[in-house]
Amino acid sequence: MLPFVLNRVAQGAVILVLVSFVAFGISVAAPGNAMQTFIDPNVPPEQLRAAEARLGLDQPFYVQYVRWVGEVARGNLGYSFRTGRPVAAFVGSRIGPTFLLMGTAFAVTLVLALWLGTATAARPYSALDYGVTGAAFAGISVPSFFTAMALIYVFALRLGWFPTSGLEDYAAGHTGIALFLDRLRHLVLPVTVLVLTGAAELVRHVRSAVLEELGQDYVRTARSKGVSERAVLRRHALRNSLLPVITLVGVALPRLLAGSVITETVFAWPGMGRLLVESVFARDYPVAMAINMLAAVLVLAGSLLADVLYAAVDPRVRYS
Amino acid sequence: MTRRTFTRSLLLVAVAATAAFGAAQGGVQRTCEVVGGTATIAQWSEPGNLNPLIFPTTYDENIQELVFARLIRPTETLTFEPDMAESWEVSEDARTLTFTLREGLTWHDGEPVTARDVAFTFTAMAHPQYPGGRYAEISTLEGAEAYHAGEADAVSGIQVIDDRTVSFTTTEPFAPFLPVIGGIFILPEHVYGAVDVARWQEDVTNREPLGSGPFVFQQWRPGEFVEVTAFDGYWEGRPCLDRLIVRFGDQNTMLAALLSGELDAAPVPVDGAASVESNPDLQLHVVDALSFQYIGTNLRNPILADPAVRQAIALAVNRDAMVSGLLQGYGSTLDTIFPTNHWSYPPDVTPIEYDPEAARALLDQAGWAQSGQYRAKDGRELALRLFVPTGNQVRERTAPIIQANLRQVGIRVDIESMDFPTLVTHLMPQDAQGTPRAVSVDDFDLFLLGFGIERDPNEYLSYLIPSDMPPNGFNFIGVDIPEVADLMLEGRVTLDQDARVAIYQEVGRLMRESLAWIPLYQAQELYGVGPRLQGFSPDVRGVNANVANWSVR
Repeated sequence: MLPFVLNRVAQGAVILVLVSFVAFGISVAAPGNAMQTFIDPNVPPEQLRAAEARLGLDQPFYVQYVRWVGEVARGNLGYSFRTGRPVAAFVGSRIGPTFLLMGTAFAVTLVLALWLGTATAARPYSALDYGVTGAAFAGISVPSFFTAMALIYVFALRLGWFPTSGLEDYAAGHTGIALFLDRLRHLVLPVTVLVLTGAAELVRHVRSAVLEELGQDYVRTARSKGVSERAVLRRHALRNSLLPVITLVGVALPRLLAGSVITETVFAWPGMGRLLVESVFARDYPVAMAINMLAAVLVLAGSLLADVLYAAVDPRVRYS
Repeated sequence: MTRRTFTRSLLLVAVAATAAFGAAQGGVQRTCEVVGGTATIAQWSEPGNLNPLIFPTTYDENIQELVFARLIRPTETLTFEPDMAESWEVSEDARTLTFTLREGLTWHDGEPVTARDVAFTFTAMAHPQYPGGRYAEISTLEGAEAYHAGEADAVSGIQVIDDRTVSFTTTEPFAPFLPVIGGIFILPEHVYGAVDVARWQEDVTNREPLGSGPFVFQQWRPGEFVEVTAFDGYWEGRPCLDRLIVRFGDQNTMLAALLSGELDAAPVPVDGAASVESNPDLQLHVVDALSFQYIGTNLRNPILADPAVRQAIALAVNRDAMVSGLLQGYGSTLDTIFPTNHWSYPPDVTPIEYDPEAARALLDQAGWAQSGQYRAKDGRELALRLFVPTGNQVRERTAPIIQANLRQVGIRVDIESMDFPTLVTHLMPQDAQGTPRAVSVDDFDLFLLGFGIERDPNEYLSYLIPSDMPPNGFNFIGVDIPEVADLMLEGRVTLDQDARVAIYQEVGRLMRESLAWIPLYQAQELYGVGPRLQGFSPDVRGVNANVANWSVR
């Protein structure tokens, strides 16, 4: 097992370098640079050019890339072009809110998908099944910005149950338990958006995986032994259907990160996704690159985790 | 809503029944309906830099003006009034301005403000390693060039006369110098001078500013908000609020937060005006701004070089429909390159009418004959690309209107949407090696862009004189009208205000005839205010006009 993991980590490192090259190339290839976004009659072009030279933006792509790699290799992620903030601390401060949002959404998605997926598989073509399947299709099809705005309109503006945006009530200055509860209230709507889109897909897969297991011989054996239907579902069918689901969970993490880009923007959530959007529009390469690389690491870690879990869950799988 | 008053005079000491402060430094007293409390407002984008000398944007300045003060500041009618300086004098040769600071001014950390801080601030802008892009504003100071080139130890045109007196001398009479000074926030030397100027953007002082303005900076949580608190030692008297929080977020998100009562005030997009007006708890403030939108033309393109074509475009575009439809009436059309509420706007300028019939006649006369849906001349179709920068939703929606309007007179328009940095690469192109080059016929045809006067119409200079075509300046369109260039250069050195009004109004009339910029509309700015916040009165200077007098119930 360990050699397998080490091998995968080594592969991952190579992939990261390739990803960084492509991501950097695409960033720099986008027309315009950080200083060209700044047009002000009081700042003549030669001043802009001096600033470009200071940031190295007057250099060709490969020079900028090699310089960036060199700095990163020495543990220096550089400074944001737009704000001058050290990138590590800047992006670092955004990781917490994003992980809070993603982690909560991930946990809720998983529980909801397993529960509904099993329930619909137990009674296929029932009213519940049609209802969940219909809702799942709606969840997949409706764009998340629309879901987000609809939720804000209904639950924040019309009913007033939840706040529209932000991490907490800034003016109130809550601490302790009150702060925890306040943040929980602020989490509900953005988490709901991510869950509605994320769970919709997962529930379909859980349903079909469980359905497939229910048709297996061992299930018939269990039933004929007199095992209760509940236990058949929970202990036999669901457990065995987890195998394909684990693979999906591995890709669900990066997908959640992608979903957080829009969700964070709509809910003014101070996470990485929103920072990525702002950095791309400002052509703030050091910040955008740091977030891109973090996302790449997440994708690789997610798929490695899925493989390791696979071996742990399925004794037939051996990595040697 | 009654407007809170406050006295600037030392002689008038208002004794308010509601709340009167112990006299702040200088004995100035402020009358507040309520003292204390926290107000939460919003803006649509996060500031980038809070050091005011680092490439400031409007979003940066909206925060900076809470924390910093200037020597002089603009009034609602765009003249200047004392801020940190209690008075100023102009020398007889009109080259030297001498400012006297108020007595007893302090920085937020309690240190005294002196003339050396002022000299430090202006000198830093000319420092050879200064990274903030504002050197050009003060490059007319005597000795600035030598210091900027590293050939002198100081700017000879900046003189500290005593602790409270500082003078600035320009190489020649420079009319916009007062507006320039009115736009520069003064930095404390003992804080910013301790940092290498080359590292100003990266330094923590760029995120935790310290000034002498009405509010003391407390914290900036990236992606969330900036928090400031009242400065007890503010020369004009402590602000009424204890605390002000400025959040940042997407337009519609902030509108929702305003409607749900999470914000006390927020800017409102035009589409949200109706929802604010129909909400009994909210009030809509409509404010004139000094910015407008126009169609830019590439005059190197032989089609657009013909004044008849530009005039036909102007006549064919239904600008009134944009104002009544897209702006829902919150704005107006304008007929030249200056905003209608600025003194440079010529009141007698010839209006641009919506007259597609006349446009067709002009194009016929110019030899563009209708062939099928569009016109053509010498086998060439009358087709133009229109580059539309994204980000301003109302402006984006004008593009299909322009396209449809021009189709009706036989001009084909192909819209290309792009983000702002991409548009800039067309307007200020570079060659394959990344070196800025001159604009060619092919770089663009028509584009949509906005312009706003920040302080003085001299800001148009680089857009209008032939020597400033890219790569040397912002004259993307390639306009070359000798009378306009002469007037613009004359406006720089003319100090008499009446003469300047005449000069710029004449520029306005000439640019109306040229239509090198085809003016579209001037949008008003909308703000929604909740029931708690009193005294909110934004004006042409921005959202924070009068911020020290805001209070919350």
